[in-house]
Amino acid sequence: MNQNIPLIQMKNIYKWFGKVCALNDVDFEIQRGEVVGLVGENGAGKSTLIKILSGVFYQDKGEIFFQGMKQGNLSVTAVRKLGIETVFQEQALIDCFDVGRNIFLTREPMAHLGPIKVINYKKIYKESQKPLKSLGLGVSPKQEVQYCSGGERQGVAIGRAMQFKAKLVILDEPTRALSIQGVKQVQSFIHKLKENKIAVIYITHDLHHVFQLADRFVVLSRGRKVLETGKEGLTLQDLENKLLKVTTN
Amino acid sequence: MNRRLKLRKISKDTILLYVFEEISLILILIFFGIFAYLRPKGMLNINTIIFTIYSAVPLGFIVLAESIALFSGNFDLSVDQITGFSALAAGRLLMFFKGFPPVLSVFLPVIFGAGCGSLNGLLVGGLRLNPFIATLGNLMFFKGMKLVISPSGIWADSLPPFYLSIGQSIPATIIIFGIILIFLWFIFRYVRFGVNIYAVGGNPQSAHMLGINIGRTYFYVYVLDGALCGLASLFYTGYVSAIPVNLGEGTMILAFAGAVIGGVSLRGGTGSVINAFWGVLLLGFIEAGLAMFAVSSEVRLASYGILVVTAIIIARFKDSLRNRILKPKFTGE
Repeated sequence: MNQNIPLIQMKNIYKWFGKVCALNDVDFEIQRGEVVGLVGENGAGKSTLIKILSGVFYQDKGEIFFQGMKQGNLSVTAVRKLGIETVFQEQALIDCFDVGRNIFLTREPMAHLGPIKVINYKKIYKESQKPLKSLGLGVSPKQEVQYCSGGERQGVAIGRAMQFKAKLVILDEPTRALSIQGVKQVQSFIHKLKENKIAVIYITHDLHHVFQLADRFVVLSRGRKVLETGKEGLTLQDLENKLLKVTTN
Repeated sequence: MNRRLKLRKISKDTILLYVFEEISLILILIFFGIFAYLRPKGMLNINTIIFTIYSAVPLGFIVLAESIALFSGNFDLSVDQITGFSALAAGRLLMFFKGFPPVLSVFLPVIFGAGCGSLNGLLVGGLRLNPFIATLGNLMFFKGMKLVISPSGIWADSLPPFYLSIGQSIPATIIIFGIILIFLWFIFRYVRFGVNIYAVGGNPQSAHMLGINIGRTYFYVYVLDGALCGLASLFYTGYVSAIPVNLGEGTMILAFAGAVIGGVSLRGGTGSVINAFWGVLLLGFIEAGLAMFAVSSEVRLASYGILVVTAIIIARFKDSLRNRILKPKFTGE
């Protein structure tokens, strides 16, 4: 496979909600194993762009390419089959389910009971230990998610992505409402993803959280892409100044 | 999803929580003990116990129907009217087509029930109407339709003997209920469709983000709910050996009572059909016990009302106890 072909390429993406234009001619791409910080103030269109890439919304106009192959309107299932896993702001966890069931929900391993396919719980609890261990998360697969801390919940959501050998993990505001300890935990999860050569889109409005981790930054403002920059020779202060300049213009 | 506790540390709170988790079984034992103490000859008799279970079966199907709607985070106010409507519609059809194959006739109320359920399913799953509005509207619609299709009910002599015999046979009734109960337990425990219903009930937004089709799931939930009401109507018909216009009427509140006492959460996502069955059994024993003391049906209904409210209070108290015991003491968040 040609290594120069981006893993994901989104071209001229438009999205309207009624008369409100949430995304206006946005281009976005990410390479294999790259960490991209998708930055912008609240309402900039970051989550909308990501929900299109995750199959939750359809774009009104524009094209999406996966490893150079043009994709039609992507459904949630189709996106996951491509190896794109999203950790939404809302984390997409079912609070009353345990950790193992949350990791495998809708993709449970099946066992054969004669001609009938049944959910293999033994395998769920055994297999879900792997991503939890690799993320250094000290929760039991049988613990109900509602009794996990904020950092642990993010870990479970990221663990789900790791379990299914994702090529790209999208993290939507993963450190929102987390303590310093929780933020550090999430950052270490992202390091683990990077070590495993998994591409990451890190969406945030807080540059401090993303600066150390990202290789490149894309800035959205009022539905438009206003800045795209690599990290070479850039300090956090430079990036903040640039961001301030483009978003106030 | 059954959230039975596995607690390591024993404290006053954990013991109390365990009692609340198993409240339906404990209440069965308490009520049974009281009635057995007061009327030992009546209650401590295997025939009484079997008959109590048999007479609770039709309501049991309605409790299961309501429980499934509750698992999905919805509810169904029209369960009793679907039961009555399916019974009358199937009865009318059998009166007109005398030569209807007897074996197939028992499926008629189930088909009518599923049809009524699909109407609820279309409104809630397809049009995303609030389940309160949708099922309340259909409650009135089915109530009216019952009088349209059969203003005076249907007597036993107008119905085929085989059709009646299913619900009249105590062993057949209990065995069929048992098989369906186990089948549903299996579906909700081991089949992806059942687990998805809990997921949708637990958090519809998250379930949607994980690729579960919410509208379709709601639709199937109501179809299943309706089919179970149809089954209830078949066994009610056999039990009373007729189809009165008010068949099943007033069981909606009992369905909620059975489900809630059985530990089914009104917020969706949790509960089990087996626990709902304990709720049914409790209602059956209370009914039988109160009938032994010739307590009027009005007083019985009032006592069920008290039971429902008590069950909701217990469920709330149980949730706060669970949070107190199981939530991390210091998360930093």
